Amino acid sequence: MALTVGLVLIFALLLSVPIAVALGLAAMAGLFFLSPEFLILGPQKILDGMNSFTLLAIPMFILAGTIMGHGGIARRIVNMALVFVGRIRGGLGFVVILSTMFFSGVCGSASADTAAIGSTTMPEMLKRKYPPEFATALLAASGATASIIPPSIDLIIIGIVSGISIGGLFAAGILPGIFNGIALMALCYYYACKLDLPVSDPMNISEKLAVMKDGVLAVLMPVIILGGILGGIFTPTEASAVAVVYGLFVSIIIYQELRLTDLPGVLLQAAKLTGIVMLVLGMASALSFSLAFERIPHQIAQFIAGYTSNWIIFVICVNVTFFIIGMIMDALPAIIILMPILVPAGVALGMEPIHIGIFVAANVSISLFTPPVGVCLYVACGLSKLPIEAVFKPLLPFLGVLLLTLLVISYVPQITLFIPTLLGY
Amino acid sequence: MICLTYILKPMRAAVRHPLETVICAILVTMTVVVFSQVIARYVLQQSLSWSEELARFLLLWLSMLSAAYAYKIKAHFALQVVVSRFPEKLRRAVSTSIHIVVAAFFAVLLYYSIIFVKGVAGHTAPTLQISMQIPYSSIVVGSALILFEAMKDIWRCLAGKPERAKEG
Repeated sequence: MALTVGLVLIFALLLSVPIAVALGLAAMAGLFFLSPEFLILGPQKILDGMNSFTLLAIPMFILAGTIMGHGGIARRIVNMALVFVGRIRGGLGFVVILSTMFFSGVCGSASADTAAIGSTTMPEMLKRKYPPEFATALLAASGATASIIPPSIDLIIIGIVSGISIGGLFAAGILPGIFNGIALMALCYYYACKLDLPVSDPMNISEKLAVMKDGVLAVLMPVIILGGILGGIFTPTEASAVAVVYGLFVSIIIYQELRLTDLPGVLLQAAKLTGIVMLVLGMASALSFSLAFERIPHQIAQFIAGYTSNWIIFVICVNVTFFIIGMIMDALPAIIILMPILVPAGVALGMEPIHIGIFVAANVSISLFTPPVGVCLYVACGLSKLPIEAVFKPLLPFLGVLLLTLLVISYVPQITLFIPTLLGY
Repeated sequence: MICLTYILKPMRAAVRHPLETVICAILVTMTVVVFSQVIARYVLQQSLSWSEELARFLLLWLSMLSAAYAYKIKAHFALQVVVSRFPEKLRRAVSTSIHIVVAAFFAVLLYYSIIFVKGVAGHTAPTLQISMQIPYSSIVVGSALILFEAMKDIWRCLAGKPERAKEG
């Protein structure tokens, strides 16, 4: 039965059937094999996969990100970053990295992050004679890796499918996210010197103060969201609703850059991404059910545990698997199916569940910009009007650096576990 | 003028695009419900009993309707790596057969969803005390809408009309 399900899935995916439908076909094939009467469980399991209060955070964090991209909040974060790092050689590159990190602190979706920050920074970089290929690769890589910084849709889904505390995962994502950011900045500085990239124009004190006063409400946002979740004031789902309301308040009333008539467009843009993610989630949970009924995940876990006696080899296997899956597709469906297998297997080898969640999330973030399929890469190329092939080579150093940080995050659990332990998760 | 911008135009748009209007309304309601849960707890010092369940049911409807909307504007992700290397004629044939596969899948899902929703007729939701048929019908409506869109795609392909542009 596992073979049939696998063949249906792979065949459908390769023939470019939409991913959600391919997962659904495999799920229905699995149920049919168990017994034709089980097909009635299909709709029920799809609905079960979507019927969760925690999942509500997904549409609302997407919506919050879209509002803040349209409402001038993203632009103010970019301006703030310019004040602090603009005078370094290749300063705009630093601005891109720093702003994607900050914006990711309010926005759950990596593609929305890349689009919001990229639409202000990309024209500026091209104007300042940054090589377009380098600028595109930088934006794609920093937008994708910032996705480990909470709040993050990937972390929410990892938490739900493997039963790890979302608050704990959010707390754990902060340091690895900053670590990735610093590594990218180091690479950016190296290229800035090599390509002789310009520094930004100097600003006097009063200009700096004006930018900071203008941007303070925008930068306060991640503090409210993360502080509220980690301080136990509200749940991640409630935080997402607070983020939407705060974003609307700031962009409509204070900045006055979003008009009420723009709102339907913003809502629909968020709904589009919600529909894609939620349908994949529902179908994948139906598939997961039909596999679990045959105890297939359990058998795979036992197989892995039988072959790998220590967690060092286990981590390498997981990283390689996700890297390969991540090249051909964004790894979201893979997390839903594989996480329930990987967490018990890893825990049996003595790993912390939160650590497993974070290094898988780091893998997923890499999958968002590895060609040929990576949503952040598409967004960045769309902004710089370059064909994807042109960016392959400039992406390699970024990929190299991020694979290196991935290994560090995988093998030094302390980086991940420091903040959660401090907060008592 | 204000009347035109804020009342008449949205009303006309709502009639022309019912699916989009319902999706926007659900998204707004959902945010209001979850936000009022926070307000109720901290300002009114009283937790709401119904907000969690209502928000979940809204999410089911939002998910299925947005999935149909995303299908309508061709936004669902698919792997193009292999198919994009096929010769033009074969690619058209593959794309027609994918529309047929999608239509068949959602027809089957629609059939079983209807049976499933009929089966929960007696169940009521614990706090809202409404029939569970109300949240669960979302999958019936969602599948029907996607089936309808997929049939339109099949008809387009067979009539030899150009493929709709891919978005997103």
